[in-house]
Amino acid sequence: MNRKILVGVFAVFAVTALGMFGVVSAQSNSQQISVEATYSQRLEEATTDTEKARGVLEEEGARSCQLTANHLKGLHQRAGLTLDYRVATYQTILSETNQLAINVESNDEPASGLRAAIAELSDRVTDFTTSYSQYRAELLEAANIACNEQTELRATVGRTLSALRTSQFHAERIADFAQSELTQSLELNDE
Amino acid sequence: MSNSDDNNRNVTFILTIGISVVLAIILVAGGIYFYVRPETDQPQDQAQSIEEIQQPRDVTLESLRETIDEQLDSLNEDDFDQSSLSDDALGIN
Repeated sequence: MNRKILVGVFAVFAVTALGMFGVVSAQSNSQQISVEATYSQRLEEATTDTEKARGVLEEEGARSCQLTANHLKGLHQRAGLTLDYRVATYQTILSETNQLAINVESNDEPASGLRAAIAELSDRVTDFTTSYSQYRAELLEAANIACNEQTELRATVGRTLSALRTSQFHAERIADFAQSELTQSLELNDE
Repeated sequence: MSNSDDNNRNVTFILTIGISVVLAIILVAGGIYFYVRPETDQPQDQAQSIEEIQQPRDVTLESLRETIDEQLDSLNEDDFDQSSLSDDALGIN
């Protein structure tokens, strides 16, 4: 009988532990998923808002340049969400890498290579933030002058595209560094 | 062994299982409540997250690699789509 009791208690606690593990791991996965879902939802909302505003402008018989301005304002709004999301994503990587450096140093091991890599990644994130903010600023400028001379609008849109290409280049530099050089510096640190 | 001893053991067995099940339900329910709280509790969640960040976390080379891949995979490839700035999209000639 005692064995039965022990087996029963053990089984109940094993199921409980498994359940708790499931809840915790599901939560850690769901945090990332919920952040992504919120970002996607807000992007969709921004698109819907722009389309609604366009509908209203068309009903009011607005000029085509006003529709262009509305389109550019919508892009500006979406770019704000994108900037926030990307910077938060890069900060998560920096934070995790920094935590690993702290762990390494707490074991009295050198982490100078890792620290240099964190500084490099941080600089690249700053470059991206600057160029993407420039892209946003140019979008807003283009929206504000949409009803001016078309040559002026074209020049501003040209600068907007240029800033977008630069920010794409900066984003690719971050991804390349995080996926290759950063982890390589960690491996060297590990040896 | 008497019937009385058997009855006592049966009662002990049932009580032990019963209490264990109740404890298990409380633990699981508590866990679910803790992790799936309504939005009104968010400030508290944030305060707790800050505490968690300040505490040492077990980050390894492997877990960092996974984090980097997960984070970069979550980024939208269309973020740099230039077609929304084309003449057609802008409605200019």
